[in-house]
Amino acid sequence: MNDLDTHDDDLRTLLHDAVSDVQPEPALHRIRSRTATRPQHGARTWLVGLAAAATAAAIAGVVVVTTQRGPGSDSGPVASPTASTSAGPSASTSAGPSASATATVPSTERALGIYYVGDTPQGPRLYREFHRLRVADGVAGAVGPAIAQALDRADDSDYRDLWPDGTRASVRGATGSDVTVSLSNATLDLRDRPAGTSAADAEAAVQQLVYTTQAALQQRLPVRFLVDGQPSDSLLGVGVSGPVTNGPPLETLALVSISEPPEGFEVTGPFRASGVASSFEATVPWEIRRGDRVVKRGFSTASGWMDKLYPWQTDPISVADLPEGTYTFVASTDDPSGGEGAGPTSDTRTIVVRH
Amino acid sequence: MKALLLTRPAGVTMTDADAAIEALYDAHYVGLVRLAVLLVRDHGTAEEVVQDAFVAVHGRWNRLDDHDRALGYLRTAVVNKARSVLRHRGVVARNVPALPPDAPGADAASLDSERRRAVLDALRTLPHRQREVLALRYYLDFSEREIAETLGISQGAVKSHASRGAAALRHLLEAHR
Repeated sequence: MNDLDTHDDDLRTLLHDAVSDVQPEPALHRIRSRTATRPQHGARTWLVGLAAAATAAAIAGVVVVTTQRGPGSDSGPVASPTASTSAGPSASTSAGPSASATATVPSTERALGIYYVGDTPQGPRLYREFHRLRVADGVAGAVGPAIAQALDRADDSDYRDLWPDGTRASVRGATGSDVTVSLSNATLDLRDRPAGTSAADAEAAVQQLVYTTQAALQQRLPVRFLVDGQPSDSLLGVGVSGPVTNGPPLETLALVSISEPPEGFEVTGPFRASGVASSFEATVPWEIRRGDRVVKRGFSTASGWMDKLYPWQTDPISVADLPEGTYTFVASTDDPSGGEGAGPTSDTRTIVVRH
Repeated sequence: MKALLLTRPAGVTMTDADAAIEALYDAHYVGLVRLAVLLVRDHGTAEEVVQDAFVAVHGRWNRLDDHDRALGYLRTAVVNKARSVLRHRGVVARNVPALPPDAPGADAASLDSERRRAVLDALRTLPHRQREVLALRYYLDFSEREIAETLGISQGAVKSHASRGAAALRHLLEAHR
């Protein structure tokens, strides 16, 4: 840069700063799934499993999703597959009172980090799973779909559903300083802690929505919760009289989470796994298991540890020596106590090896 | 596990192009998405634009004459795709999300985010060539010659887009400098 004016560091600073907080979701698997070359002879077997239908259902129901569990909910309403690429009017037009911030059309797809509660040696903690959802344009347009997905079930069945069936959410507005989310349930009073839900579970369920909202906004704004549209002192028995900030990461999040591969990913060549962790000396051990048997193991090194969760990524993992079939990829925190302490936290993904 | 989500057909092997794309992804994906946000503003659209660029460069890999210049091809693809996505979604420009103004007592974090929004909003109001030239000049620190090559325009045109764009941006952002 010597032939252009050099007195414009102000604009250089402003432009760099304007995108300094942009942290895109991992997309390597998505790119690779689009660049994969097909076999020469015509055996193109595109198997679309139930999870794909479930994802489509989640896409269709972005605005207000009722948690509908039980038999058959996986095969619920399925969006037209073409809808995901169209820029036409989207489901967000049915948002009604859920704030102008989410009512913008057209909408696009985004991979959003959605938090779910899982069990760890430290008690219930939040794990992160990525979901592609249709969102409205704009800073706040992703919040409604993200919360709807958080209230619905995770792809990974290891995570627990803590929100009572039939809970609905709508985003009532976002300012520069907080976001307001209203929750309602026709059969239960959401102010009370449901029977069978521990206080720690309830706390985790509230934090699940705070972290999910902040991930969708890409900003750490506090969340103001309403119950049935009214201010409430309590949500699932947790005090929410003021805006709720995110809990300290190391006391709220699972100490390791897998971002890639997604649940059920088909592995056909070397793949990398990635995620976030805070693990002893930044070491993140991983294993591939077939049933209970460990068939491959290694470790990756996160970019830090102790004060928060840091990204980690494995070197390419070859599966050429593994017979075709279903395996479990496991990432853990390191356990220097050798079993004396609480034990490691781990996250798992089912992967399918094909050659 | 709920069910299998099979995203790739069987029989796929890792080719040179795959390995190269993966290396480029590791080194440059985040930076390219940030460049795309300067061009299209919406994060989701920016991610799509960059993923499309990776897929396009992968598809042409065997026909690229200089693999050392793959990053240059990627950047050009990002700029071109950003322009075409804006052309096809002209409506987006007029629908730039308007969050309500900050509440009184907004803290430093929200002032930061207000300034960032203002910069991105201001960029979106510029003609596309000015926006592209400013992004390449101030974000990537490109020289006039590099900008001209990336955009396929003359260095004289780069100079005039740069000076007009910088003047317009300064005017729009007087409050934030």
